[in-house]
Parts: sequence; C-alpha cells; structure tokens
Amino acid sequence: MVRLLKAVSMAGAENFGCGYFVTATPYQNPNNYVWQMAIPGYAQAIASRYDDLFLSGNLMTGDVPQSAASGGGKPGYTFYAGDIRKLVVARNMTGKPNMPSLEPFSQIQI
Amino acid sequence: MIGNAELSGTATIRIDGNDLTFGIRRQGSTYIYDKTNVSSPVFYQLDAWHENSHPYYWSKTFNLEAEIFDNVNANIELKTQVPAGTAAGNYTNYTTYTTFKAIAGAEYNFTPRGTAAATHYVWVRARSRGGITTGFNISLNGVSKFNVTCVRDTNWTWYRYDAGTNTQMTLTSLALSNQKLSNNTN
Repeated sequence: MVRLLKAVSMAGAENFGCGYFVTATPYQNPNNYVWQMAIPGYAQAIASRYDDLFLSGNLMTGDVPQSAASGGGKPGYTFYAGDIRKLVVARNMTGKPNMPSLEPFSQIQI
Repeated sequence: MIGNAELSGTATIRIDGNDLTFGIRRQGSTYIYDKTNVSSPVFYQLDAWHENSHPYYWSKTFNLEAEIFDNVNANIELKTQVPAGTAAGNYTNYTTYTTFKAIAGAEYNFTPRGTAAATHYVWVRARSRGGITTGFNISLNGVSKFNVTCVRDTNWTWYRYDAGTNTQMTLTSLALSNQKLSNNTN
C-alpha cells in the first residue's frame, strides 16, 4: 500500500484516509491494522523531501490516456512503462528537476 | 500470492522526448531527476531505505545515502556517475555522490530502529577526487567522534577505522531517539 500512497503523493495529495478493517471472522492480523495507520506517514515523509516540487511544481500529464477504452483525449497523468502494472507518476518544475515516482502496481488474486 | 507485484524490476518511460530507465520495487521508489545541467544530469533516489516487508521486520542497519542530507550547504554538490558505455537516460546502475567545493559538512538525522539501545558500527564509502590524501570527520549530535585521514584511493572504498584510536568506528548504546550524524570534510 505504501507504494500506492507514494504515487498519490506525487499526484498532489497531502493527506489520505486509508484503512480496511474486517469486523467478522476470520479477522485480519492486528499487525496489519497498525501498519495501515502508519503508512501515510512513510509516504508523507518522502513527499516532504521534495516539498518545493510538491507545492510549486506541476503534475505531468504523461502518455497514458485517462480511459483505456476510449483512448486519447483526456490525460491519465501516468507514464507507460511497458506494463500497466507499473504505475509511474511524475511532477516537474521549470528550472527544477523532473521527479518520477514509480510503483509496480500490485494485482492481488486470492 | 498469484499475480502479486514483482519484488523489483526495471521500467522505461518516455519523458520530454527521451527514454528514462530506472529500477522499480514492490514498495515503490521515488526519484529526483535533475536536468539543470543538461550535459551532466543528476539522478538519485529518496526512499532507497524502504524495504518490501512490514517495517517491524526492516533491517536495524542504516544505509544513509550521502546525497540525502538534511542541512542546506551551498558547498555541497551532487553528481551522478554511470558505468562507461551506458546509454543516456539509463539509471539502472548508477552512483550519485556528494562532492565539495570547499570544506563543508553534511548532516543526517535518523532514529535507530529496534526495541532497545544498541551498538552501531559506522562505515563510510568515499574516494579522493585527485588521488591526494584527504579525509573527513564524523560527529554525533554535535560531538566529534571519529576522524578518517587516509582517503587517497580514486576508486570508491569503504572506510571504517578511526585514525585517532585505530579501532573500528563504533557508536555504543545509541538511544532510540533522533540522532544527528554529521560528516565534515577535512
């Protein structure tokens, strides 16, 4: 999950509400409850290392369309990295670095 | 788990008309790509220390990347080096390092992981720019701790002995609170 929050941070989010709690048996491992509460801080800490680009930079439009079905038109704000499970989001700033945030997107099949 | 993301791999994107290739990881990776100097771009990672497991299981060993220093010092420059023959924009194998325009110091804040104060051993990877003998001083929370004076190899080399005591640089009983490590060039 922290990988997704890093990408969301790069897209411009300062705060997240994240939590998934199972209230019926079989319950989740409680360690995972704690981890869900902790991970925003890990992503926000990394975002604080590029606060100039976060606050004054621009989210790059990328080359992936917003809708895979309808194709072009509106931007998807991600970059195609050869595999749609690899989520790449970037900001840039004139006179400042380009900054890709990279995430191999997770597919979970239970 | 079937279909889970790979632990690590590479990705190539097209950005500003150029290919950019870099490593990716299950826990995500955040990079800075600084093209201020077009002929010598700088590429480095902000979160290399993130591991792919629950943080409880993360290593108690710290790897402080030199380029991720916490203070502001105009005498410190970052440079990125790739092996000879590497295509432009390929950063799957790179070294980004700090170099100094004058005597300068870099500061690194960290909090030791674990459940009790523990002993940490300090290793520093460095090289001499021109093969001349040089060195650095390491402080902890403003108190000078170690001095390394034998840096003369132009290849990257690990240094771990204090010149003053001729023993391994050791931080004993490091408390589980914020620690500020400073590395000052001699």
